[in-house]
Amino acid sequence: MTVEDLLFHSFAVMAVLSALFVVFNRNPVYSALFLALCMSVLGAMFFTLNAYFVAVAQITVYAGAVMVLFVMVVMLFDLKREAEEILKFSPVTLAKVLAAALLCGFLVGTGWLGVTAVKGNLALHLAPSATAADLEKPIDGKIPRMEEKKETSPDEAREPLAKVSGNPDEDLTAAEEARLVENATVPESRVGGGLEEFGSTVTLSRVLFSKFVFAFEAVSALLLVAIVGAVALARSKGGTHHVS
Amino acid sequence: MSPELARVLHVSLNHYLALSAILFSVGVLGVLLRKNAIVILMSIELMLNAVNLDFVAFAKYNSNIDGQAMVFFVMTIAAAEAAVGLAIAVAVFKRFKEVNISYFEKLKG
Repeated sequence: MTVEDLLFHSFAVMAVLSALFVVFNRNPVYSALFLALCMSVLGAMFFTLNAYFVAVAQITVYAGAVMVLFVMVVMLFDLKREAEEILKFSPVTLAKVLAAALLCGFLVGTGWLGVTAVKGNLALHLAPSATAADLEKPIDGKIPRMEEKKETSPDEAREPLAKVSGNPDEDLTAAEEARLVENATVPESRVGGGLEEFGSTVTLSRVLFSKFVFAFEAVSALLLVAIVGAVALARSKGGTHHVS
Repeated sequence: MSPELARVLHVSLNHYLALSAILFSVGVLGVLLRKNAIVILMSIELMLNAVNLDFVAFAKYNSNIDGQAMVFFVMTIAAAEAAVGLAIAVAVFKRFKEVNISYFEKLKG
C-alpha cells in the first residue's frame, strides 16, 4: 500500500462521512460547515490528482466564496432546528432511500465494470504513439499512467516529436504545433523549461484560452445574467431590497 | 495484508468513479429527504462536486487536460446557481418566515 493509496482512502472516508453529515444533520449551520469540509477534502484530492490549479480554485471558490454565501444566508434566517426527524419510518422515506441506494449501485456498477470492459480499447486509444509491437502486446489490464510518462528523460520525451517532424532538430511547423497544443499531451519539458507539466497552470490556461475560448466568454455572459437575476430578485416585490 | 486485498486497495480510475458515485448518491438522497431549501441547494453542490471529481480523475488517467478545463465551467455554473437559488430562498423566507420547500408552491407572480 503506497502513500497515494493511503491518502486516497483517508480522503475518501472523510469526504463520504462529511457528505452524510451534510444530509443528515438537522441544524443547517452544521450542514454548511460539513459541506465546507467535504469541499476542502475534495480539493486535497484534486491536488493528489495533479490538478493543482483546480485544487486551489476549489478551495477559494467553493470552500471560500460559495460557502460564505451559504453561511451568510443561514445566519440571516435565524433558522430553527428542523422539528421533524429526517429519517422517520414511512413507505415514502423507505422508497427515497432505496432509490438513492439503487442509483449508487448502478453508478458504481457501470463505473467499475464499464471501465474494466473498455480498458483494452482505452489503453490503445490513449497511447497515440503506440507502435504495432505495442498493439500486439497483451493488455495487462492497466491504463497507461502519468507516472510512467514522467520518468522518461527529456530526450526520450522528445522522441514522439521527432517522429512527427521527421527531423529532431527541425522546428515544428505551425500546424503541428497547434495540433500538439490541442492534444495537450506535448512533452512539455520542451517549452518553458519543465514548467508545463501536466496539470500545471500554464498547460491548463493554454487549453482554456484556445480550445475553450468561446465557452469561456459564454460563461462570463452567464455570470452577468446571474448577477442581474440575483439583484432583480432582491429588488422585486417581497425581496430584501424592495423599493415601494 | 493479503495480495488480493492489496490489489483491490491499489488506487485506480475505478476507485475515483466509485467515490464520485457514492457522493453523487448522497447528494440525491439529500435532495429527496430534506425539506429545507438551503440544505437542498447544498446537496446540489455536493452532486456537482462529485461530477468535478470524475472530470479530474478522467483528466489524469487519460492524460488529457480538457477535463480540468471543464471543471472550471462546472464551478462557474455552480456559483451562479447558488447565488440565484439563495436569492429565491431569501425571498421565500421573507414571505413565509421559513424555507420549507412546501411553501414554494404558493408562490406566484
